[in-house]
Amino acid sequence: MSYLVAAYTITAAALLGYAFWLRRKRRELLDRSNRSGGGPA
Amino acid sequence: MEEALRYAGVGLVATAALTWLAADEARAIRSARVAGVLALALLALWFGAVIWVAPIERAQGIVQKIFYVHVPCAPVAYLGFVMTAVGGIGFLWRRDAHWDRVAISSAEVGVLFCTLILVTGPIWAKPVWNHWWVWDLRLTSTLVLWFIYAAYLFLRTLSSGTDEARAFASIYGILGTAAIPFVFFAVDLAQGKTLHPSNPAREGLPASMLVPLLLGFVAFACVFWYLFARRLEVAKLEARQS
Repeated sequence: MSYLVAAYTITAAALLGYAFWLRRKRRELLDRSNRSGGGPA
Repeated sequence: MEEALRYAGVGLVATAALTWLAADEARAIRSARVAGVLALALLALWFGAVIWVAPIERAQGIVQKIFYVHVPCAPVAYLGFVMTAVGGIGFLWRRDAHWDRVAISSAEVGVLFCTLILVTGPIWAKPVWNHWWVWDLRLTSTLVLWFIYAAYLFLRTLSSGTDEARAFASIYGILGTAAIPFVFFAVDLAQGKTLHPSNPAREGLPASMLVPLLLGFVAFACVFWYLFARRLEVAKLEARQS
């Protein structure tokens, strides 16, 4: 059972972690773009 | 041969759909929201099917259910690497940096899924084989595939953003896909000298196992689509600010 939980937890953590990292990076870049007057993408 | 053509056909349809989407960067980026909603809905269905529909296999017990997360990662990783080649071909043909961004974004998401294959596989293998890892042809070739595209990403972070560097990376990304059929047919090539089970379609799975597996394929493909679209947007914003 612990192996099963580990496999699913690691997969969920990796996919969610990457999705949130992209989200944060996107926000940072959009903020920087707005501050420099570039407007949103 | 018939089996190979069937898999190639499904792969071709998925690649054609993603290529159509990626051809227009704004369209691909806009599609992220739809992809995200679809991915969440399908992941919920898939997870429900893994818990309530998939049976507890007699020989392996509950640990066999790792199969439903491990196997769907593989075609999605392959899709990522094929899309890296599509981006590479697009760049070499059009000399448009947009196709290069398609290649980098696909490679990154592909490597993520390939990493998950290499992590979930040993977690299943330990209780079933009593080993985390064996140097069998399928496992080793998958590791080699991971190294090929991890090296691609490493190369991209080190190289300058010149057209020469992009062209070199494009050729590397295209050549890397030659490893995919080798990984896919590794179990057949090993001619019985492998511990890894054969491709699942050949095992004649009952509907109760096939439904969660197919849902896993579709759900993970949508997760790939969402992450790819988001990564493409990040790459575009970075290019605009550099």
